Amino acid sequence: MKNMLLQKAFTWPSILSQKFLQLRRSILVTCLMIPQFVSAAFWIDDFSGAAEDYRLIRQDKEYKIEAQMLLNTGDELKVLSKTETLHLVQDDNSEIVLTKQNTPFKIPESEPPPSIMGNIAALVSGWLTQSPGEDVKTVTLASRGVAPLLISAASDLENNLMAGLESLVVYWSGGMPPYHVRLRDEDNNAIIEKTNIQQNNVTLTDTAMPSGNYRLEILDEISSTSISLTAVAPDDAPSLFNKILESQAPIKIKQYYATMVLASQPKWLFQALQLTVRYDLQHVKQNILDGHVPDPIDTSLFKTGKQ
Amino acid sequence: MKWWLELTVVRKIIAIFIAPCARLIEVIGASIAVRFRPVHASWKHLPKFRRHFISNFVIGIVIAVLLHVMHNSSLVSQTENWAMDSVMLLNQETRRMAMGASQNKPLPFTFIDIDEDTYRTWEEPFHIPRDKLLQLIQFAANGGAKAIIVDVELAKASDDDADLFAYLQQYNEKLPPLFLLRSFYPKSQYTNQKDFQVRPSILDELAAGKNIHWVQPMFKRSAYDQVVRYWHLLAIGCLHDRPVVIPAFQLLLDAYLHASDGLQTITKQLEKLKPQTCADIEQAENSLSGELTYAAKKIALDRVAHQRIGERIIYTLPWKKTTTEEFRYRPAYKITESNKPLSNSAVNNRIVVIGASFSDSRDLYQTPLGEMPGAMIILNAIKSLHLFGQIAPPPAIAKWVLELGLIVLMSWAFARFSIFRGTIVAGMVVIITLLPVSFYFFKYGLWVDFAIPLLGMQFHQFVAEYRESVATH
Repeated sequence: MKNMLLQKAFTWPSILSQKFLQLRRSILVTCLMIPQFVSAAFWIDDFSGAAEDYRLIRQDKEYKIEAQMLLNTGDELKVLSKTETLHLVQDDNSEIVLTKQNTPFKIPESEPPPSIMGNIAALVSGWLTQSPGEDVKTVTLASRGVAPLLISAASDLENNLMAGLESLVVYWSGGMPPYHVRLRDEDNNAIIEKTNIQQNNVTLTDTAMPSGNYRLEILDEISSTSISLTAVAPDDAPSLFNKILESQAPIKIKQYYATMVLASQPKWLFQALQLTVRYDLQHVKQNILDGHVPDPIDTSLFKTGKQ
Repeated sequence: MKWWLELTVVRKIIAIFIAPCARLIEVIGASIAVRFRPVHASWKHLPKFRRHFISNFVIGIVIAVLLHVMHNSSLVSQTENWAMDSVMLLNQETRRMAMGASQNKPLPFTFIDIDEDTYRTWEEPFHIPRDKLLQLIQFAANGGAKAIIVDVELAKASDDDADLFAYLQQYNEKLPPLFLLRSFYPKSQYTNQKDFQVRPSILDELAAGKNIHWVQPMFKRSAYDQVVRYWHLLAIGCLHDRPVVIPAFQLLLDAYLHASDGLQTITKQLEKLKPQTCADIEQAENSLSGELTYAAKKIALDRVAHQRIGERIIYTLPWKKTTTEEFRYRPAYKITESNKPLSNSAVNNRIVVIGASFSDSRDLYQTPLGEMPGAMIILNAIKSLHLFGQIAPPPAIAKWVLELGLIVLMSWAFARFSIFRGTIVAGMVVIITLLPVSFYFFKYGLWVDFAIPLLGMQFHQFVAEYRESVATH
């Protein structure tokens, strides 16, 4: 009994001293920022030739290298062939290219994770050193969703075309490829159809649309859009358009102004787009597709001028 | 800092409004003093220090009670956010916070990031290409990952789904558990202005493999600064006109990490929370109560009791391309575009999160540790629930004893010294004693608040200033 008490009496101080040591160690670790673990931050990014052209020694053992392999502190790399190169990359994207000449290469120690005091120091240093100019970030304010399908240079209500067009040029925006374009006649029959279109435009050929009503449809996998088209006789085009074409002006000027007259009227905009392609008016076409159309032309002014 | 400035302004505003109230209290006090002349006489005979101390003590108690009553006010919650955000900021990436109370090894994560470089390498696809996603999942699964989390929505069908879906259909228990997300439609006319309609997935029609688990990626952000601070552990939704209970990533993963049968255990418990019909969903969500249990862990579901503190994510991993024992980072294109045999050192025995950070993914959010992609928030939430659990305040008795001690200290400081010195002494004591205690217990899921006592001290200082100005005039 006495021995047991004596034993206990001797054990307690020892337990207390152990506890004290543990406490002191944890205080030291927490407060004095003793680095606790170190990680290497080198990855094998890529290499030429075969894995056998390189040697990786890790703790006296040889390993075969692989792409995206994490390297440890102390690993030794050697390039065995004169012609091959080994690319290492670090977390900050900096790259090291190893060749036979600059190897063996030993992976150095990288920075340990920060401590609380390190974080405090970084925070305070940020406050003191960062100027207001460095503290701002530019953001782009734009919708990043998939935009809805929309046929370009067309009116939602009515679109006039001149009957007899041999080809039809269609531009659209939004949606996701592959696209499907379809032209239907008055009886809802598909008269022309094109599928698996990867870009945002198509030229439908051999249309030869006689006078009548049509519907042009664009479809992707999850959405669709359409416009109505009315093919009319060329005589039904705006009188100013026909007068310009009949005038004695040089051909290029006539084509330009006639197209501009059509582009100034929403229901003729789609026809104007067709003319830009036929007359090779690239600049006008781009303006129309960008939504820059001329203001409606006051035909009374034209009449006044003629008088 | 911002909080301190706001408080100074608030103090000045209160000063304008409190003067008439204080005058009223003084008039009432004088009337009581006349009625209780003997008490008033003996009060007058008390030494000045004792009188100051007692009145300061009473003021301290009133302020403490007021702060408790105002617990859900914007001022108190913003002060609490400031304090907790600051503690997270200073504890980020530290070795101490890499391990929980009972673990001596960090929980290893790998973030396979579909970053801007990957997005451009993949030629700016409209959606995450399914063939690339399949490559990434296979790389993690074959590389011996502990669990795979895919923070990419698979609701919409695309041209190149076939191979991925064929793989997912035969995904079995021999492979690491795969967590796929289910999202909810936002309110619109199509959801009858409700927010519990689950977006169906093309995988619903095909039978997904046995080791695929559906989770939801919902988190809550503070309305005033848009910072994501809280998780949403359970969501009840309506899918194909039938109610479903969908757990958060962190809940299901924590159950899996704690016990081999954790997933089955928690799935059974979640089934019991399911309402009868979709019409009962809102009521079922509002009346969630009780606990979920797996292994030795208990998760409280009572929203009222655990709001703000219990639902808070402890962020410790910022969005940085670092490599530590705990966190590894790889851009996705390095895996999908490699023509060499790939090492599994990035994924072996680690929790692998596949997510996107490229700008057009619109998956970047503000957090207490700065901006980070959704995948990093999920990763932090998993670590937070697994290592630190649901944050809780200390037991009520300990909290009141602590507050009483602080009130006594402040009463003494304001009675003994001038207001300026009293504020310095009381503030220093709070910072020197409470701050380390708060930091120490933080990793054990216990939040010892040091901000509210500082706020109380500010109010106390204001009252003392007012009393001094009355006395001098």
